This record gives sequence, structure tokens and C-alpha cells, in this order.
Amino acid sequence: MTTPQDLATLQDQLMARYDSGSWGSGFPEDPSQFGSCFNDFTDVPDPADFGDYTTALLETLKKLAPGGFDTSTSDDSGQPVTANGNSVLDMVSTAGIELDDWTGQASDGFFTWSQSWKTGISNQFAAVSVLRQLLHAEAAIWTAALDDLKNLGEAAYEALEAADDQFDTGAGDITTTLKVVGAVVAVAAAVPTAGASLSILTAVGAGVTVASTGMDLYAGAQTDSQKFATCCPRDVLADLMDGVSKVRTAVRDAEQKIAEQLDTNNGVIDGAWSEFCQPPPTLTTVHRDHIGAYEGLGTWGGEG
Amino acid sequence: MSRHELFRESWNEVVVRATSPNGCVHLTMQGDRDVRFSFDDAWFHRTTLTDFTDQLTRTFRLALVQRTQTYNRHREMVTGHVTTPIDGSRNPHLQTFVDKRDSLVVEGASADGRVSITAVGLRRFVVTLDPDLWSAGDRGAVERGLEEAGNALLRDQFAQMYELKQAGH
Repeated sequence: MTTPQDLATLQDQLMARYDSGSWGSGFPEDPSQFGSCFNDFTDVPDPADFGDYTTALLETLKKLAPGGFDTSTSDDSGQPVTANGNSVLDMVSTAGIELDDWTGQASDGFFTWSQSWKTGISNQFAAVSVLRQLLHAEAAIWTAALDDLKNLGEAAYEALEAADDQFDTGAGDITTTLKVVGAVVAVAAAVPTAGASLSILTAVGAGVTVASTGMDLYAGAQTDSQKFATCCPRDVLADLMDGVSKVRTAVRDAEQKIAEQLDTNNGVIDGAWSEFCQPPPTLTTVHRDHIGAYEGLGTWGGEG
Repeated sequence: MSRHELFRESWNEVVVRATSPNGCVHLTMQGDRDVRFSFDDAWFHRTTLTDFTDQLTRTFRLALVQRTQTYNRHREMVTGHVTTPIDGSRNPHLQTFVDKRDSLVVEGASADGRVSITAVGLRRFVVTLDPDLWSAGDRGAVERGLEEAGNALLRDQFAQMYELKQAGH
């Protein structure tokens, strides 16, 4: 997996190769671009850094899971990541029954509340799952972008060498394949709901397999390519910057898709807040807006 | 050693072969140098000079196609990058390069000057043999003369192409 540091090293190598070449008059206008072509990408997120967050969210999902679930992702060996439901959650739903000696308004309120408790948890599970998918998509974008940029740099290096080779005719274009980061998030993915009925959330498909050491791209069918002329450094640089521009555009488009998904889902959750964070049980005649201490149950924002 | 250097080094060992349409002229070329010819002896002694040079020029064209395909496949195998014919339409610089390459006139001659080969853009070939050399019917001498001329032509081709690359089109 390519890291931002790899790109910094690669652009240094490109600059050094250009500086050591014998180029006649085929100069680029600004040769220093060989040494700065990846500058926009040297401080981007390292895809491996997402692993801790997705792992933490998986643990959250396990706690919120009303039933067994499939995360729509796989581990480093390609096996689907699945988990069992959290049986502790069942105890809440059945608590009202077990409190045989508890009667009265508070008991009735608690019982009513406990019957819909699991629905709210299921919806929270779905929301966390969406967040995790979005993180996967982010990791996938940067994995694809960094790999594509590395391929561009390596192809440009080879093209420079061919251009500087007096026994290479320069009559061929070197072609490198790009994964097209935009395609990474075009894969549709279902929201794991662990049996919940809620289906109003949507999730971009990360198209990744998740490994403990990082993430590998799902081999999508859609690819693009970039040709490199091998006849002079001016054309090599033009092709390199064209390829970098393609990657930059693809990243922007992919990020836009993720942002739109996030906005859509935020809107869904805001619009159906009580489905995600249920009102507290009516235990007394005190209005429930005035009842606090619901740690662990979410924050009840009132009925609006 | 870079991937291109690995490719360059290993290309020197690759042999390209071509045979004339009538099957009587055989050409081998190793690593863009060391051109070798061999002719069917019976055909050589009964064919006309016109037919002979016609078969030779056709063999050159076949050899060039074979060489380019082999070169690109070998580069892909060593470097992992696919090589396709240059696409001049991508920018005006490249189109200029392609146009100049296609009109490049290169030539090579044997040491004694009795055999010469001229090529335009490596597409149209003209082979000229001294009438005395041809009438002598010495197959070995003709093969050697063509080999010297062929190697000289390749050297001229690479020299001019490098000059074209250096000129920035």
C-alpha cells in the first residue's frame, strides 16, 4: 500500500532523473514540477490510519447489534466480517416482565418504553454502520489515489529513461492503468441492520476489504489509463501532470459523493430523531423533557 | 538497476525473425543490431534482381512490424507497463514528432558501397545492389553486403531518432 511518504520519495527521484538526463532542447517550461508534482498529496490521510477508527466502530456495532450481522466488509483474508448480536440487549426488553412486583404508572411507562427499545438500538446500529461504511470509503479513496499516483510516477520515470535512451526510438506510449478513485465509492452497499426494519439510510459502498494492517481495494471493473510519451521530458511532464489532474478530479468527485451521503443520512436521522434516540420512559408525572440521567440511551432532544 | 535499464539490457538478447512472403529470404535481428540474412540458394540463383529486391523490401517491412511488436511485448514483460504506438493526436508536440519520424530518411551501405538500403519513415524501403555484385551470383557476398548495409541503416535510424528527440520536435 502506497503512503504519502512514498510519493514524496518518488517525486524526488523524478527530479533527480530529470536533472541527470541529456535532453537537447525538449525542456518543459517548468521542470521543477517533476519534484513537486505530488505536493498536493504528501499530507493526505494515510489509509492505514483509518483502521483504528473502523475497528472501534466495529466494537460499537457489536454492542449495538440486536442480532447477528454482516458488515459488508471483509478481513485481510477476504472473509466477511460478521458478528453475533449482543444478547445483553435482550435483557432490557424483558426487564419489564421480570419486574413482577412493579406496578403502577411508572411500571406501565417503562414496559411500553422497553417494547420499542430494541428498535431504537437497531436504528443506532444502522447509523453507526453507515458511518463505518463512510470511513471505509474514505480509506478506499486514499488507497486508490495514492496507488494511482505511484503508478503515474513510476510510469513517468520509465518514460524519462526511455526519452533519455539513444537506443529507444521514443515511438511508443507507455500506458499505466488507474484505478479511478471515483469508482471506488460507486459500488452500492446495503446498510447492515442486523434484522432491523429500518431501511431509510443509505450508504456508499467502500468497495474495500478491511485488514488489520490496512485496506486493499476491491478490484472494481472500471478503470482509466494514462499514456506517457517517451520522446522528450516536456511531453512526459505534460502527461504526468495530466494524470495527476485526473486523480485530483477523481478524489474530489468521490469526496463529494461521500459528503452527499453524509448529508443525506444526517437529514434522515434529524428528521426521524425519535426513531434513533427514543424518548425516555414516562416513569412519573414529571414531563420527560425534565428527566435526565439517560446515559447510554442517547440524548433525548425533546419532541420539538 | 531501474526497470528500464533491465529492459534495455535484456532486449539485447532478444532475437527477431522475419521471412519473405515467398519463404526464400530470412532475416534475423538481435537487440536492434546484428542483422543477419540468409537466402534459399536455389531461388537466389534463378530469381531476377527485381524480384530479389522486392522480396527483400517486403521482408524489411515484416521485420519492422515484428520488431515493434516484440519490443513492446518485451518492455511490458520486464517493466509491467503496456506500450502502444505513439498517439500524436494527444498534443501538437507529439503530432510534430510523429510527422517528422514518418518522413525521416535513413540509409545504410555496405563497407564497399556496393549495397545500400534507404528507408523513409521505416515504411518504404529501397534496396540497391551493384549490378556486378548481383551478376557474380555470390550468395555469401550479397548476404554480407546486405548485413553491413542493414546494420548501418539501424545505426543511422537510431542516430537520427535520437537527434529528433533531442531537438524537442
